[in-house]
Amino acid sequence: MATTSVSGGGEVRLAGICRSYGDTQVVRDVNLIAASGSILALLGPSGCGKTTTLRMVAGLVQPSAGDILIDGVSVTGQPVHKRNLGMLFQNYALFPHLTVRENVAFGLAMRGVPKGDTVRRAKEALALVRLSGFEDRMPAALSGGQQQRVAMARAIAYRPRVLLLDEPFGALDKKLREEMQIELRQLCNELGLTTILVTHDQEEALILADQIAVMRSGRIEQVDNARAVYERPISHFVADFIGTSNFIPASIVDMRDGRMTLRSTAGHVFESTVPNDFSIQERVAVAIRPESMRLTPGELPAAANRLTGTIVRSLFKGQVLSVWMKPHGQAELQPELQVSIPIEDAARMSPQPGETWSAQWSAARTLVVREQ
Amino acid sequence: MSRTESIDVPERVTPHVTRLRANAKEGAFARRMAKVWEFATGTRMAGYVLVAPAVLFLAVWFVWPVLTMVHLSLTSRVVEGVSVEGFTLENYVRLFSSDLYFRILLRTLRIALLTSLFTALFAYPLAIAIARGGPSLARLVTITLLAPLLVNVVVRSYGWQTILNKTGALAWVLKIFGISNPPVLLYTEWAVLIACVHVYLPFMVMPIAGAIGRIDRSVEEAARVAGATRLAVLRRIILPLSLPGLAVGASLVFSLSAAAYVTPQILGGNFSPLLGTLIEQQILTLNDWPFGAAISTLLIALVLASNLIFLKLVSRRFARWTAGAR
Repeated sequence: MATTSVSGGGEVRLAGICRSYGDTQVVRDVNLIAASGSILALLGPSGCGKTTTLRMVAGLVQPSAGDILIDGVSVTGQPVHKRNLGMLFQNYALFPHLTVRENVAFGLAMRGVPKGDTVRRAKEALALVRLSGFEDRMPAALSGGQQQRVAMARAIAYRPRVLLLDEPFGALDKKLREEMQIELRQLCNELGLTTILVTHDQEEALILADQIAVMRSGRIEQVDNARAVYERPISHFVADFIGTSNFIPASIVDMRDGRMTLRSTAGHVFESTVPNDFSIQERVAVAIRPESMRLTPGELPAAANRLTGTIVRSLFKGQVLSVWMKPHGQAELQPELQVSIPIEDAARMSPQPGETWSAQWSAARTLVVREQ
Repeated sequence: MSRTESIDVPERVTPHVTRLRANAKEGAFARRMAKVWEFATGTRMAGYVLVAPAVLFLAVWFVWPVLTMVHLSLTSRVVEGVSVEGFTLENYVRLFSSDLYFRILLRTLRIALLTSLFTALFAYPLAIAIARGGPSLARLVTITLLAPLLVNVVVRSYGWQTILNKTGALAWVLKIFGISNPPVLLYTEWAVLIACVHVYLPFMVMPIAGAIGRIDRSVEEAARVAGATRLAVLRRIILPLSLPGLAVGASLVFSLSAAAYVTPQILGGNFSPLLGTLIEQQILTLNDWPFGAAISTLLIALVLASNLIFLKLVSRRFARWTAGAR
């Protein structure tokens, strides 16, 4: 690998940035840090303000309030072309009238790099994205994956301080997307590039990012590393957006020795040993992942973290068998519980609609989240 | 059936075909219409069928008269007011052997070229405003640009005459700024050029605005992020990518101004006649139809040739961008 391409990434800090269009606030008081050399994902449904946030870092949109700092220096007033960033767009945005080489060399030419160096560094960047030998092609003659690589080479050729990715894999098919995601992660780590990624695909965020910032209606809902966001979501929204969860509204009745006891309105008792910041009497929700639950046939005596119900339907999903169960005496909550049975266990037990089964799970897998 | 199966029907057409096929169950007429529609859109004949009406119209009202005109210029000549029949190149020899006609020809080409150049220069800012400005700005510019087209060309030319007159509005304004002896523009090439630029500007702006509007905004943004100043984006991205629009605009403006008649007649007068004026003189004043036809033939050939050369240059460049796309 070309050792000359290694560049130290800058630390990006967003300090209370806001953006409104007319009366609509698109981004509200976002505070974030992308550590030098790390990958930060802005994850959220469409319209949550994640793309606007990214465009503010790029300078394509001006924040209405707040400050953006790269390596401690404010860039808020700086024009786009002076920020020294690399950006990947959803549709690649290659220059259709320039060859692959000219595309990749564009940023270098704009920086007044001498012609000879430009050619060499463009070649290096293309080698990094494994696209050597395509220098003289036109973008229109390339496949989607190849165009993506050219866009990547163009963005890293001039060694930007920060790489910004706006849903970069949206247009690729699943298999190619996964390949490119792994490649991108390797490349960013190799170059030590600070990367900010915008995506609505939770899987993409989990694969790529060191830190995930979940956004909702212009606000940051939770920032944590990928594992923590999945295993300890703080709100109903996060638990629902990342992975699938069953929610049961409950109130906290007891807390001691790191063990929390909760009770639903129907009287079911839940226990959780997952650390959280909630206090007694607070109205929250219990969230249980479908894969955390174990099913046993028939009715079990009532206990904490245990629900009995009637099977509604089951669905084969490849690696898992998804089973929906209607809990007895739980009219007020989410109508059906979803339980995943690993496919190797599905051979031993296959719940049929109409049968009575019980679901149970451990206190370590009982999540307590803020109700929205 | 086998025909439609073997040929790709464009996706947007398929629903129509399906619907028409469904309707076809209801009656013979609908069935026939469905067949016509399928034929017109789903086969290789589609292109020919769609352009046929326009081609027919042009053949009758344009190609045929032009051929008649060329024929006339080659088969008769006027000697001392009397028409002499029979094949002859005399009209063309006369056209090329006189210094006067050659000067008029050069002036015509010069005005057409300069008009194209100046309209292109003025067109870019306006086209960018239309394509990239806010909706209200775009509408304002478009209306301002197109409004003069609502005024008859004669009226507009006389309007310019009162402005460019020795005692006209321009002279009056210049006098306010202390220029007591302003240059006389009326009845010079400049007057013709100014009026032509004004009249033909929309024909340049609209195609360029269309071309700029089709440039993906994220391509411009990608250039900005990669370090390009706004000027560099204009030069390296917008300008080359809007070339197809410029080609159309330049072709229109060049052709229109080379063939302009009313404007040069009113603003250039007899002091700077163009080919159009010359043709009018030959045909209406001197009654020399064959020689007028020869000048017209030359004009058409010149305009056609310059358009072909220009389009060829642009299309070669354009072909490069889309190389391998199909």
